Amino acid sequence: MTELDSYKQAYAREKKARELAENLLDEKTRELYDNFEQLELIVEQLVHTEKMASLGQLSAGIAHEINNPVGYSYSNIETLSEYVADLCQLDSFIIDISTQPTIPSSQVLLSQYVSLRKNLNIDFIKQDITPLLTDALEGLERVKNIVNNLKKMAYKESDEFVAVNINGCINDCLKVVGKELKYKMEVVLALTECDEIQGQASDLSQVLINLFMNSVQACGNSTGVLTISSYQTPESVIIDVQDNGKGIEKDKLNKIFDPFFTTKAVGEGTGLGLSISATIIKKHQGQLSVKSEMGKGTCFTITLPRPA
Amino acid sequence: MQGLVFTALSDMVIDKMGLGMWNDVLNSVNPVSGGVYTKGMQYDDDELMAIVADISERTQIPVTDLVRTFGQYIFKYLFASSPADLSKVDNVRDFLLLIDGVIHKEVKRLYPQAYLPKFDYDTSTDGVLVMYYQSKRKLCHLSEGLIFSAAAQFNQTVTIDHPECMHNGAEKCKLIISILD
Repeated sequence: MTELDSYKQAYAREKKARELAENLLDEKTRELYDNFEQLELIVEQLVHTEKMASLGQLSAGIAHEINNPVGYSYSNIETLSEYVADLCQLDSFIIDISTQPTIPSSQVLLSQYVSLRKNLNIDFIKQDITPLLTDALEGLERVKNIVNNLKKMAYKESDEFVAVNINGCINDCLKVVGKELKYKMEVVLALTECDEIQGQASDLSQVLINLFMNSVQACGNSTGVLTISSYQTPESVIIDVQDNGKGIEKDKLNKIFDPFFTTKAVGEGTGLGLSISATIIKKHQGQLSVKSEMGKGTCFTITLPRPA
Repeated sequence: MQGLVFTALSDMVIDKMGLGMWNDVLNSVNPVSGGVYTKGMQYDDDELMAIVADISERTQIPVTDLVRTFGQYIFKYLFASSPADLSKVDNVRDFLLLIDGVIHKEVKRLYPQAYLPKFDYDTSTDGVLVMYYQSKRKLCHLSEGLIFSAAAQFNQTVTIDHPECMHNGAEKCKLIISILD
């Protein structure tokens, strides 16, 4: 074999080897692309699962919040149904007389009517009906609002961003976690007028509720102060969620946004709350940051871009 | 066997004996792959054994010496393409101790189909590292060559005793590595 033939043979082999390598690269690229798509889907599912988990943690408080107005609305309606029976009885008195062959004199009739009216306590009933109805309606309105807020939280929106009023979002979230905060935290609101941002209210609510619940846990058994501020700069809408709880140790501060990192006992937290919150804020082109001092408290800051 | 071994072998033969020699070997062995090797693919072990046997016959170099020399040659390829971070390793002993638990684990993540030898260690004697090699391929002499080059990589010198060998019926090869400096 001549030297030229030798090189030609080697070149042919190298050419085939390069084709093989290129095919392998294509195959691996496809695999990576498929895996990336799957990962995106899993992240989406995780966000929703975490949302459901945080709703689950709130469920006992929410049940109480619903039970209370349902309880007194039910009781009011029970009383109202007794009143309706009394009013019907008074009505029947007149109707029954009108069907009798001999109708008593109007003097007697009036006296019997007044006596029955007194027995049935109609004056009190007349006074009581309005507040009973008002309270029952107000109670049912409260239940409706709680369910609506829950729906806002749990509903899986489309990926489309819409105009979101951040202060409205904060207030809606406070209604959902109200029971959890009521006896444990003093809530100080320092909300200032902010532009609407482009985003997904359900996802942003998930972040806020997560931060509120973390504050409750950071304050433990002592009554804490949760200060929620909103304000804007020329570029951003900013929300500070500050507590005066135990704080986060310095060496843990850079890990709190890592998936599955948790300082809570097994079964008390998924370890995904802050990681998913950071992902949601990132999806909104924003930033979730934290400052903390042991024994003094923690402040989470959500920075979201103002629409151009 | 990983394609990298074959591409390194072809480089070695071409470097030391010329392209003509490599062509002759492939023409004589006529491997199923046609001698077309790519780093990321897997090839039949028999192809390597047949190529080494053919080179040994042509050069009259015993297979064990040839395989050991190849081990020394291929080290630079393996070290350069190590998927594990070795930047903090500064001596041969630490490096050897990382092979089974760290480097091979990373290789497995990158090439799940790769078959890798198993190493156990005995570190009970000062200045001596005992490595037990176990593999269906029985390429213990390749490991010897790799260990020599690993020592050179860290500017160290080692001697290797090989008192128990799978080629002589032992269950695993015992490599006693004395680190001289």
